[in-house]
Amino acid sequence: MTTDSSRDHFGAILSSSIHDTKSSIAIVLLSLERMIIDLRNQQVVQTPATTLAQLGTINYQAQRINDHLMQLLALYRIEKEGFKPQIQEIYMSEFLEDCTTMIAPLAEMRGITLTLEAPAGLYGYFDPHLVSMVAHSMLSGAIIYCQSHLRLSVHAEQNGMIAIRLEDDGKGFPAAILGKRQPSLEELEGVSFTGGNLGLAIYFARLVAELHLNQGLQGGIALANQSSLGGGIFTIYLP
Amino acid sequence: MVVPLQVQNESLLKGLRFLVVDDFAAMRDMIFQMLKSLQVSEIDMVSDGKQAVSKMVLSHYDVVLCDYNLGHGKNGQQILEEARQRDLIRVSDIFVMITAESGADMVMGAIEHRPDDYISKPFNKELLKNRIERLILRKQNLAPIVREVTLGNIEKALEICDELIAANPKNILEVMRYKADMLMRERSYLQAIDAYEAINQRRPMPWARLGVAVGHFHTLHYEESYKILTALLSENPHYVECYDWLAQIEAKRDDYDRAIGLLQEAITISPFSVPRYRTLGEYQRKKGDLEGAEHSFTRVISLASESIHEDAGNNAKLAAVLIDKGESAKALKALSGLKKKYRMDPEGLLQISLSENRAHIARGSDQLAQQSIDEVDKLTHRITEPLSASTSLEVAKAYFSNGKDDEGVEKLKELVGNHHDDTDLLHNIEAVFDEHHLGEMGRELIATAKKEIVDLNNRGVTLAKQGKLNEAKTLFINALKSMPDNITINLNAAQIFVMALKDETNHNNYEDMEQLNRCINRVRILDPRNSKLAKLLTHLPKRK
Repeated sequence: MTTDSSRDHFGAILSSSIHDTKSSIAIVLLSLERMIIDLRNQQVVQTPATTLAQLGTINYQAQRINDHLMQLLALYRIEKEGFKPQIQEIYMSEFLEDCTTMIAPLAEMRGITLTLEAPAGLYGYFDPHLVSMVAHSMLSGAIIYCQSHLRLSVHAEQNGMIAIRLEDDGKGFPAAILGKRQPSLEELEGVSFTGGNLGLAIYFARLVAELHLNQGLQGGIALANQSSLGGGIFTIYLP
Repeated sequence: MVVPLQVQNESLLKGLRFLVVDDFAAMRDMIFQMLKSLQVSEIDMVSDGKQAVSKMVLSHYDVVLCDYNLGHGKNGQQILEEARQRDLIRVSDIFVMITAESGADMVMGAIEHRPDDYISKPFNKELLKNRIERLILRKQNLAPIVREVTLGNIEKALEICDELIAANPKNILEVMRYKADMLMRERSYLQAIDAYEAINQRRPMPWARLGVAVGHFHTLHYEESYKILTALLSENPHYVECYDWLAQIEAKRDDYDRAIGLLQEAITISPFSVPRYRTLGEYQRKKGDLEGAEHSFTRVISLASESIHEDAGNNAKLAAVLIDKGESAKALKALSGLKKKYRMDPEGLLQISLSENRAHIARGSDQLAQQSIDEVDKLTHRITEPLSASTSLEVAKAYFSNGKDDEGVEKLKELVGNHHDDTDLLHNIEAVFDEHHLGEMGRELIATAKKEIVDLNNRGVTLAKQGKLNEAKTLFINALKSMPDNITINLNAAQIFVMALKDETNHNNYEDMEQLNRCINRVRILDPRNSKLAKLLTHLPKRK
């Protein structure tokens, strides 16, 4: 039997163990970052490129573990505990900056150009924590399948919504999930990209977008191909 | 050896004092290294809430980086609340909560106890630097406003707010919010409602709508308040503060069943709030649910342990419930040992003696009752610090129930004199008079006292205007003998002494200085954030 208290109990255990795990991940990532810098600054011995690449992979995978944990926990809170977005006023150019700071070292290492575009003075109203999780998981997917360029931009739509858009110069989204503006979890199942499950990320993005409501408008996501960079376009709309 | 990360342009963090609170040694070490590489040289680190608070008592930090989840003891939210309540961090200081899940952690704290920012783990040096630098820049344009507020120049502060808002800065919302919150603190509720509505016109924000609801509550528009609160809750059932305010509305309507239900719902969402449990206990007691009240106050005591909320009043409340339940022996047992614990707290000791006295009376132990009322009497006369109104009222009640009606009436008179403008308290005082069939006398007493104080203040002001400062001084000195804790009288008296000391021929008058100090200190204890006091302090004559 599932009683209220056993549910709360599980939520508490989940949150506390994820908290500890995240501390560990944080330490792994920070240690790595320092290690890479130390290696680069070494004057005597040149670090082999493969070592740096391997360290990059460890960094990338650790961030993905973190992303997945965060998604799981957020999904749990939303579905089981009725958690609602905590709306804040967000200065968009700062938000984009924050979304990319964690991934920037990796992009640099892989020689990927990361362009940010936000009109000055533009504000958004959303849960920065949830939306940055979406942005981060989309970014960490895109960074693998793009060639050399990613563009993260934000636009004020005519209907008062805000659109955060991620464009890449990769092969684009597979036909199976294109065209459907809001793919369901079943449809996304099995959709997989090199190195990770894009399906869950898209499902999560849609869920987060749809939780955002304002005066009759609801958020959503859109997937398309043939971006100005030649690859896929992911957009999250927030009212 | 750690090679410093490349040093770019001068970091804004340089020269700031940091406190890092994290129970994870490796994490502390990491943050330490990051800060070092950002040119921060003054960094203190602790592993739990107790150490964090004692560090903050001893020295001032510009930035506190605090982990939310600290294992045993206080969590980050509790540290922040305690630090704010004890004025250990100033408005210009930065408190950043480091969390695993900022969204859910945010729900747990009251709005006025939000940290300046949440940073989610893992983060890197760049992110930490960006966030803190932004906060520093944001606080910079608030600084002139904060300064005026500290000086008590609310008008001036509002003026600066409006100028700043008109200039549409990046942090315009924060400025608008600061203005609205300030008006709320000043109890200018109608203006506060307008200020929150101005925010909602830009874009409805849940906290600004809550602000409007709270404003309506204080201006007794319960219907409007109720509507907003229920709408907020239907959008987000986790918005716990809405339950608290709804419960207060139901209590005002005497519907304690619903008030209790609402608080219980809030508790299932956020189970560690001491004030919430305390209110719940009070409502349960009022309604006669003594089992429930006993449970709530027991919970209050255990949650409050070693926190800012620890107070002998909590134990007194539990004892009162037990006595109501007919379990006076259990009440006495619960009180035993507390006198040692609160030996440095005269009001606490008084509350314990009052509880013991009630328990002894309930058990019919005349001799012990006599002993304890003597103790109450002795403590009351020994305490020189102002007593809280509620404890004073309990003392008056105790005199009555021990057959010392004259002392009881005296105490009530004193209370009326000290708190002539506290409507709720006067209502309770009237009830005590009524209970002892002295209602007529009580009402008359309150009416005359009110009138006398108004007359007295008017007379004082007139005398001062006529330049008869000496007469005004005598008038107030005499008034303070019977009403030492009346804030209005203390402030007006202080004003007179300031005027007197400004006179060339009088500015070394030590007697006046001493009187002035006494008035100021009294108000400081009674109402530390009194804006009239702050204003007065800026006009103090300089000592030569």
